[in-house]
Amino acid sequence: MQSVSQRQIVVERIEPITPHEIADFAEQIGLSNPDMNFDILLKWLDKGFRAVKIALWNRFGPAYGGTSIFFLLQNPEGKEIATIVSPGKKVAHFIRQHAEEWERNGVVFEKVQWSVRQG
Amino acid sequence: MMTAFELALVILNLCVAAIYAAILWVMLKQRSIMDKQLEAMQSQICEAKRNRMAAHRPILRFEPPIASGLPNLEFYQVHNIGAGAALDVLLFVHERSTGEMFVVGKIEPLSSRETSNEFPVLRPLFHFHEATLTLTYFDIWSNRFWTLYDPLEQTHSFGEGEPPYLKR
Repeated sequence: MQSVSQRQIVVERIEPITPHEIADFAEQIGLSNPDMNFDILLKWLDKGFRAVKIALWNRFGPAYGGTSIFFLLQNPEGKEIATIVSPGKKVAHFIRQHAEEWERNGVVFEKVQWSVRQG
Repeated sequence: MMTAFELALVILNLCVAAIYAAILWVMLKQRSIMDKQLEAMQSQICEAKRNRMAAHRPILRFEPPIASGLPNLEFYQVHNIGAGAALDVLLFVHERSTGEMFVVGKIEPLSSRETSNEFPVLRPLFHFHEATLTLTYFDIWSNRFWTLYDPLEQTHSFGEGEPPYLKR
């Protein structure tokens, strides 16, 4: 926590990662609020949106910050939405289930290292 | 003709009725005075509650967004400009018209004048989905409040209770 907002948010590193590595991580991390926003992700996928990028972030999770999985989704008209899911067993299972299909469809998988600096 | 005895009875009955009427009148007067006192006490209690709530009321507002290194992604912070701590703070990124959710986030409790950590929002959500940001939070007396922020207009609205437009 801080009392001013003079902060810079910087991408330190972006590395490729496999969906199975993301799933393994999501399963092992053991958060107190796992799979938060997973139902929201499923709802948008049901509405015809498809994943175009899935990234493992080292922070900005939906439950008080922490590690998160960023899903960038797109519908057939090209409209994009994004949601951020906290890692958990359900998400891990879901990623494994769709890993092959997503790789076939050219979904981008990334590991993003963020850092926050005082300005 | 009425005898003296009967006349005395009638007069006695009239006297008793008059006494009862007087007692009733006094009781009604007392009831009316007590009602007024009760009303005054209730408004005092209300006033005290309002003062107590105001003294501890959190008010959360959004800070201007911070750009990130990634395209279309920006970060927001929440600042507590109120007098009291904001507890159980929830952030909702949702469609303005339908209330459909994009992201739900939990934010740490914020004391007065404190600013939250950053949370990311995809900018196209605001332009193509008319997304807005809502915060719900509680004061220390468990009163619920909300803040609605329109990022395009950069306007805040504040309210008490459950936001009526959210679809949870």
